[in-house]
Amino acid sequence: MRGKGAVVNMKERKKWLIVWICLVAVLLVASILVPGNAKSESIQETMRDAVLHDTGRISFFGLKDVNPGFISAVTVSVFLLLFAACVRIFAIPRFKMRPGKFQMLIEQLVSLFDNMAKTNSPHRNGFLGAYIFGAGVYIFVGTFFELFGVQMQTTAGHMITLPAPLSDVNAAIAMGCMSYLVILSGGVAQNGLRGVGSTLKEFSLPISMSFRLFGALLSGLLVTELVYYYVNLSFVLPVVVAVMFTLLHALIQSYVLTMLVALYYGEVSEVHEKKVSKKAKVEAA
Amino acid sequence: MPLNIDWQQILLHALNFVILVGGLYFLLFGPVKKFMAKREEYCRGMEEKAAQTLEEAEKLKADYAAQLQTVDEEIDRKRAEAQHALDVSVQQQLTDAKAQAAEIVMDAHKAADRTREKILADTQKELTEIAVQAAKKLVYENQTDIFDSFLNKVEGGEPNE
Repeated sequence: MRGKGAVVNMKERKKWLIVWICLVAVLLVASILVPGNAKSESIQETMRDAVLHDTGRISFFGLKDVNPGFISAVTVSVFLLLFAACVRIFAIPRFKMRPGKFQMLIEQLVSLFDNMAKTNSPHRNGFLGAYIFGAGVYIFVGTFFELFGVQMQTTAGHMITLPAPLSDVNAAIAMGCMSYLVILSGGVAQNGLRGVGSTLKEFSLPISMSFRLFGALLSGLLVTELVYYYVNLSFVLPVVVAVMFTLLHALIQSYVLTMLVALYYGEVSEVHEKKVSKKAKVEAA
Repeated sequence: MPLNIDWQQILLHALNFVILVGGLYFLLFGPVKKFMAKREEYCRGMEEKAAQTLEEAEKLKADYAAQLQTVDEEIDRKRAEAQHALDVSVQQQLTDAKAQAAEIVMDAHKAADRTREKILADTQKELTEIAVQAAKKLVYENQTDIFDSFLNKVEGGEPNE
């Protein structure tokens, strides 16, 4: 009886496999044979627009035409704030001393950045923890956001997919400068003018941080644009490229920026021992 | 500007980011950290309480051990006292028994003496009575013979049988 059942199952499975292969083959042939719309722009123009956003701009509630990256940034921020509000209202009051899975996830996330701040900057790390938590979550979710492929209409009338916020150079510069200001504030708060001096020594920091973020995220965007531009590359490859690039970038860039900010903050907010004057040394001797 | 850098958009991004960081701090980071600190405090309290309880238990154990030690000593002392009392009592009883035995022996000796004296007296009395009887017998036997010979003589006749 069992042998007969197994044979029936095998036949059933084979039938479904043949149907699936046929469906895939039909769709593949159809997608190659059916002519698509003529490309409105060349690959050069597509990639140039992905970098510069000088043509594909979006109206921000009719107030101003902005880069798609800004719309992405606002969308990500609204999503994150709504999520945080939901957690604050519904989850945190129900937190238990013995945490569940969701509580543990949230606590791990918070303690990850808090511990990073405490480890790299022993002094004045309360504010630093909050900042790198915000920055890390923003970079991660922002980079992940491009995977959803949210479509918006540009002012020119064609549809574009919203990119990661930080693939816009303006967002990267804003993030780099904000991080630099946070580092500077740590130096000033702890060491006064000496802190300003030690922060200003790293004058290239905002530029390096900005363009590191911009370059890393833009490279992912460009590769994705390139892959999607050609129909022949649109099979299987995007799954690997999009997910791998996006996920890796999200993780790596979140880690790199938060770690750099924490390290520099710790360095400039380090307590310097007062130099003992020669006179005091002589007196002590 | 090169690379389409727009200062206004940079500021807008910065504003967006500051709002996000502030919002995340007030809605998520702060409350979660506060809760974690509260739990840490709770755990520390429990740990301290456990340590305190353990310390109290150790102290109690030491007290009980000390009490047990005292009880052992007390038991030994009581046992020694009881043994001593028993020895004294036994000694006393032995002494009493000896005294009583000596008294009994003395009484027995006295009684024996009295009995012996009585026996002697009785024997002497019996001997006296026997002697008196024997004397009487001798005397009366001789008198009968005399009386019979008298009567025979008087009657002239034959001896009266």
